[in-house]
Amino acid sequence: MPKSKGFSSHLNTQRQSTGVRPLIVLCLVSILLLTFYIREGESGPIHSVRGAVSVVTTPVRVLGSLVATPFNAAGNVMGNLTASQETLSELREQNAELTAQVAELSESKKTSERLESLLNLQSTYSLTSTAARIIGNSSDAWSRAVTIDKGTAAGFSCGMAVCNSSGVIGQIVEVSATTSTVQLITDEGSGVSAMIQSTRAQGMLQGQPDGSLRLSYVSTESDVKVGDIVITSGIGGVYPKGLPLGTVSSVEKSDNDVYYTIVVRAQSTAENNEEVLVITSLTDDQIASDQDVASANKSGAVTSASTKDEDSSEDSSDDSE
Amino acid sequence: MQLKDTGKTRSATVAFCIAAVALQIGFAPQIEVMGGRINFMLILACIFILSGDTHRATIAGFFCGIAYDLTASVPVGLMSLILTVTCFISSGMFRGVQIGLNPNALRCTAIVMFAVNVLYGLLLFFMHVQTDLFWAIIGHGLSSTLLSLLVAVPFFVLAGSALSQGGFSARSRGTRYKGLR
Repeated sequence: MPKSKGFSSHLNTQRQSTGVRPLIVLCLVSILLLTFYIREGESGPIHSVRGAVSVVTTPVRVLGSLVATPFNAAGNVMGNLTASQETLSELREQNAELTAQVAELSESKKTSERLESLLNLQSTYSLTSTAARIIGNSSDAWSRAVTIDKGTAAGFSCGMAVCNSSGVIGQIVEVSATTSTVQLITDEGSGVSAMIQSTRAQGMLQGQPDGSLRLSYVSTESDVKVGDIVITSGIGGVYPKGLPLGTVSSVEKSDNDVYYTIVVRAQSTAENNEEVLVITSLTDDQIASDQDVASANKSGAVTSASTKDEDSSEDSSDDSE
Repeated sequence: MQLKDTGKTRSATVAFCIAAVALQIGFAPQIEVMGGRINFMLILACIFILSGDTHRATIAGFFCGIAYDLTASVPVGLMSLILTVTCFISSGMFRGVQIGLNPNALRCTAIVMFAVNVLYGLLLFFMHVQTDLFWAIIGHGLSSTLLSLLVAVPFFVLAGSALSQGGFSARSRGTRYKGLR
């Protein structure tokens, strides 16, 4: 009986991998990671892993920041060289105005110094703060954040406000042992309880997708002009009351609108290697008074502000109202 | 084209991975052009896609995504999910494309990068991380694609030279069954 011709079972037993098995397994792992990340809130195992990665990668971030700093300066010079005539004339006007203000402020400063020495004030805002340095920006295009070189080891925690010499830049949203991630006020997920300095009209300063700032929920009954200074209102307990946020650059109102559409130019920018102050605690004076909260309630700003603050900080929800 | 499992290949692959991760951590946060940022992990994933090994590309896609997720302030698991699926599909679709600086490779890379960035922006919008769909897709997605594609060129040149030096094996090379034809 002739031996039947069949396929040998010894040949080519190892089938070439098509990648379906790793695809299924890794997709499941990714989905689980995403689910746990969303569910764990602000702290948990995945945030801890990210914190550990942040600690390990800090030297590389610092190195990158140091290497990039001269190029950033070159970029600024190029930007200045290509500035339009309109911008230059606007800057000249601002320069003249600022020169006048400097003279006025120099006089005020001397007066202030005398008053300060009399009243024995240590600083204007009496901020309890710790200095840190910006070591990098966000590495993704979808968020506006910076990384600073201190974390839980320096006593930092999520929700702490961060400012530089010009004013508020944002608040800490993620923290590891040696670094913290600061969500900038220009991020579209950011919301700061704010008010117009001159009229005390309350609102909420929100970041926009294009990086600009908009002051929402300011009633059309209040008086708002271009050039008005916007400051923090202290509602929510995250940002101390009275810190500068920006200047009103445009005010619009339609006939039937209840609220203004106000665009604000940010007072401060977050540059690499810049020193910032992380406000570690607030005094009672720096939190909004009941009168301020009642005033904001009338305009509807406080509800939205509290909601935003709760989104980004547990601390704020504990302290607010 | 498949990556030969030789010492030279392995060292070339490791060098590419280390360079990409270091640049993602140290360099990517420093540059922003019109709302876009360079995604070195996506560039690395594209190199693995063009290597033609679906199994390896899928695993590489996952780790590239995880590296991106853990070094940026974004939802962890999202980019890894997108890159795992994209690498699996794309490595099969673009199996015939030669790695290196050539129009086909750049075209395929542009398609992959645009698809990944658009999908990522879209999912961030549905997750309410982004509030404006136009900005999520065009403002950030398209500009990130163009920026990453520009930066991918030197990577492709290096990958092409590694290929010519035998670091990566090419399908155009002869096989040991040549004499049997």
